[in-house]
Amino acid sequence: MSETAILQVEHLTKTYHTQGEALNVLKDIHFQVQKGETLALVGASGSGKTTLLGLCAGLDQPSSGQVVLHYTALDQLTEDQRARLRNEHVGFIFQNFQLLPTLTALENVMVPLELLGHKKVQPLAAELLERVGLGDRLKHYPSQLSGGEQQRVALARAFINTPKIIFADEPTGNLDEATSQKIEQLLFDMNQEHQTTLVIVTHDQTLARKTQRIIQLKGGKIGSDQPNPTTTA
Amino acid sequence: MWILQMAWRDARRKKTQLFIFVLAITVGLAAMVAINTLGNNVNKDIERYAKELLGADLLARSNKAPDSTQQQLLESIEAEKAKEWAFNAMAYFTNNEGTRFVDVKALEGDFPFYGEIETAPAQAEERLKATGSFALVDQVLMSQFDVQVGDSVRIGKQYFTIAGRLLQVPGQATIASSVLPSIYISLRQVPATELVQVGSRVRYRYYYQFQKALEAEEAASFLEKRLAKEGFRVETVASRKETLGETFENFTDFLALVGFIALLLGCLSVASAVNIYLKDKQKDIATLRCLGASSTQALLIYFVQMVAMAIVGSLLGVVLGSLLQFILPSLLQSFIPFEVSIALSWVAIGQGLLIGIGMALLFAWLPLLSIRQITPLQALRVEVQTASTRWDRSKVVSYLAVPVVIMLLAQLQLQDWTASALFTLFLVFTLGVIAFNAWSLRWLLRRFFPTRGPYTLRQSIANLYRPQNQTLQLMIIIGLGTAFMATLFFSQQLLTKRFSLSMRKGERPNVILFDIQRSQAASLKQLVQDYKMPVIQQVPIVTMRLASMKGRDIAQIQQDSTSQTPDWVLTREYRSTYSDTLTANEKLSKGQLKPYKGDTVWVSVEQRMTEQADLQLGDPLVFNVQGRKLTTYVGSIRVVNWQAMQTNVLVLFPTGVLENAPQQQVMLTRLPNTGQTRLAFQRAVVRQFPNVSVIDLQAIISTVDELTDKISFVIQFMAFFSIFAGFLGLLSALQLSRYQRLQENVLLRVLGASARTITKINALEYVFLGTLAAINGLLLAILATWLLAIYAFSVPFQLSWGAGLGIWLVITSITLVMGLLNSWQRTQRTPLEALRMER
Repeated sequence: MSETAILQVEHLTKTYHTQGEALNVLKDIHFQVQKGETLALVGASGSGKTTLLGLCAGLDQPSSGQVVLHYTALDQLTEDQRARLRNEHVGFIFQNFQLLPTLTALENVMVPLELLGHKKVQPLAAELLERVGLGDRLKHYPSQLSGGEQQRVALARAFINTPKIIFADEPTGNLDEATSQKIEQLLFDMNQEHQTTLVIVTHDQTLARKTQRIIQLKGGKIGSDQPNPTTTA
Repeated sequence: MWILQMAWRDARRKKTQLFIFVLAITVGLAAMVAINTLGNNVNKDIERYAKELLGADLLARSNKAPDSTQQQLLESIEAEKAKEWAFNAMAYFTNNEGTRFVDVKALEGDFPFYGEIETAPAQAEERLKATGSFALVDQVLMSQFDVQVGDSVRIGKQYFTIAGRLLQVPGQATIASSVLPSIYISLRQVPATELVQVGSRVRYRYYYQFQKALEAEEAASFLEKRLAKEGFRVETVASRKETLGETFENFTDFLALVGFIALLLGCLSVASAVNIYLKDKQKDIATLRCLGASSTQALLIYFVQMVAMAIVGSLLGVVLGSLLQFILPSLLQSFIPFEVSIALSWVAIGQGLLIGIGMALLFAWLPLLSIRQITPLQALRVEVQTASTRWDRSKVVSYLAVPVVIMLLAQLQLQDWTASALFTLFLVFTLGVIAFNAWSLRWLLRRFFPTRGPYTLRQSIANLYRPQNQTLQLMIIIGLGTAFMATLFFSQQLLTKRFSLSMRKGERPNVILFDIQRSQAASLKQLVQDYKMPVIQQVPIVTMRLASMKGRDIAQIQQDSTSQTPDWVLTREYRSTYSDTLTANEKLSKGQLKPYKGDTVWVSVEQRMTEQADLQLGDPLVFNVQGRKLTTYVGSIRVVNWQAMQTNVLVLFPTGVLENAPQQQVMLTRLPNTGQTRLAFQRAVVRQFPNVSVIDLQAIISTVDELTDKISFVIQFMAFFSIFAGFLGLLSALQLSRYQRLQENVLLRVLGASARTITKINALEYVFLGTLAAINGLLLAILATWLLAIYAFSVPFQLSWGAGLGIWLVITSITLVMGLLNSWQRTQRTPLEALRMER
């Protein structure tokens, strides 16, 4: 087990069985992500990007192989232990924001720390919302916010528990170009500030080029795994 | 703490979605609490008024005149004593020649010892004790015939001056006096009426008042030991309390079941409301799981909400139920022989809260369990199905707990394990049948799906079986609601319409003349013919009692604890007749009618009696015919149609045996419907034959109608809550289906389907669903009514197909209207608006 790798994916396969037929979505995927690294998983639709992200974050279980996240082999954990691990060390950003509609922006951001049992988390959540430019929208509900604003709230929520790694699934997929650029900027800035590892699933080449490394998936296999010359140089 | 906070945050913006949940519990529980409160109050009142209900500390009664030894025994009790002889007779109001069949009660002594006979003017009862002939007459009867205090009434051959109006008699429900109004006279006056003769039906009652309660118990057991064998019944305050409690309990138990079913339907609504609520929350739960909430935490957030809703719903339910307390007693008052007090019953409130919260949580728990199957992956992908549906122990345990809890709660209501188990079994059976039918329907549709026909028809049929269909849920809720409502409706029809219908058909008798002396028969027959009326039947009646059966004394059988023979067979007064032929309403099921040839007397016994007394052909029966023992043998067994308007008897003798025994005759005739002739004939009978009683069945029908109307109103009042709860269930089930239909409707609109096409598809689907569910419910209701008719009401099963058709139409229309209203809003919007509304 590497001491610097925050995420190790070892010979991972995922097979779905539907109506007696086996569908191999991922085949023998193997890679490591180092602490503080930024990585993009790219590929065509149906190439297995989101499935891989789900497995890396412990949202699902592989058919074979192993995921070691934050030095912990996920297959050794129960679902609730995996939930605890996510709560302590992982942040999420989703394509469709996934804010809880019944909670205000501020409450949405507070949830991860509250789950950890922290008290008086409100000032920190407010500070983060201030950081993403929503200092005046603390009491607003998701339905009262635009798409871009909702994704900012999601960003604040993802960073509040100072995660070691952030998984982002098409974080700008539902936004217009101008808003996308602002969100991307904010994501990378905050990532820099918090020294977090970032794994992004995207088919947006512009976004992918902002990461240090790009893994291309093709038909459920790793087509290429290369450092991004524009950021590593 | 965080769980509580999250539960509150999550619920505060979705309060309206939880409204059905709260309302369903409130409505379901209110009916039950109301009935339980009434039951508790009545029980308390019975306790409070116990002595007044009996009017004495001890009562010994018999339908047979006591002989001199028995009389001595009855007189030997050292206590304050009073006597009452009661019999039915015709009352004849002299000033307007009005006649009416009444219950005459002849008193001697200071009865009642507890409570008092209320009269206007007050103290009118005292005048009965004075010399002269006075009567107290039921106030309703007096108003009916427009007679006043001071007017005269003739009973038998004696004239009485009306001393006062009877307002209230302790222990007597007002409904009893509307069926058979009472007239009180002094016992001294009975001989003058000449109504009590050999064979007359008189109820003899002996009342006692003691200084100490213990003396009453001692005297009761003393009398019981010596007189029970002679057909006497001995009652104390305690035993009266028990009988009254039991009688009332039977009625409240039935209503309590109606209330309990209302709660069950409410709970089905709860389950389906929670289901909808959670469908809406699936993404949020998946997100929470992504953020690190454990499945238990996620489950607890929603469980806390359900607990709060169950508490709110149950509290509102007990408040509404307690408020109903101000209405229910007034609806039931006429059936209860005392003033029912209106008070809160803390026991009923406590029990209601416990049952309400328990049931709501039990039914909410089933859909809540699915939260544990929501994977965090669902936050990433909509199309991810919930986690494995493999064998889940907690789910199995929860589902098994439902019938167990229902049975426990039914037991709490009924206090009878067998009845509770049967009730639960019937519910499970009902659910099983509906579920099986829904499953078969889907299978059949998939197997034989019509490939031709218009698109709207094919699409609407496909909706019934395609993945995520709601056929099962909707069929259970609508089917169960229909089954319950239709059963209530059918049973009510069975009880109320049967009697009046049979009366109106053809040339059946509508007047019964009885207590006719042998010497009066010919002249009475002449009178009937003078009025140009037919003598449809003329039957001699000889009264007798069983002395022994199958070689064993009746007293012996009574003391035998293993004997299954019911009391009514052993102690009743048999009113038998003799004939060598059967009437059109009788049919032999075993043996032959054997004429009397001077040796063995072969009698024909009614089938139900032979079943209950386990009698076979050839078994000996010894009758005591007014003092003389007569040995007979069962020669044949008959089936009797008791519904026929005829003089039917349990034991039929051959001719040549009873002719010389003291006897009375019964005559049946048919009066024309014109009021004038009816009244004239009745007056003529009462004038010429004062001892003969005339029962005008037409008048009885209207009283029965009035009575059943009152009862059915009470039942309908209670059923209303079930129906309301059923509709809430229907509403929530349709809401549930809305989520399934929404996406497809939007897509169809995007593809160019008009609002009209979509409405057509939806309408056809709801018509299919409503029809199938209603048919399911109706078939179950027919089965339940058939069982009730045979085992509970002992009446022949009849079904009104028209009513069945009506119920089907109503249920299908309601399903259609509610279903369309449910989707109407969405079909009226533009596709884009609809797409935006999805969340």
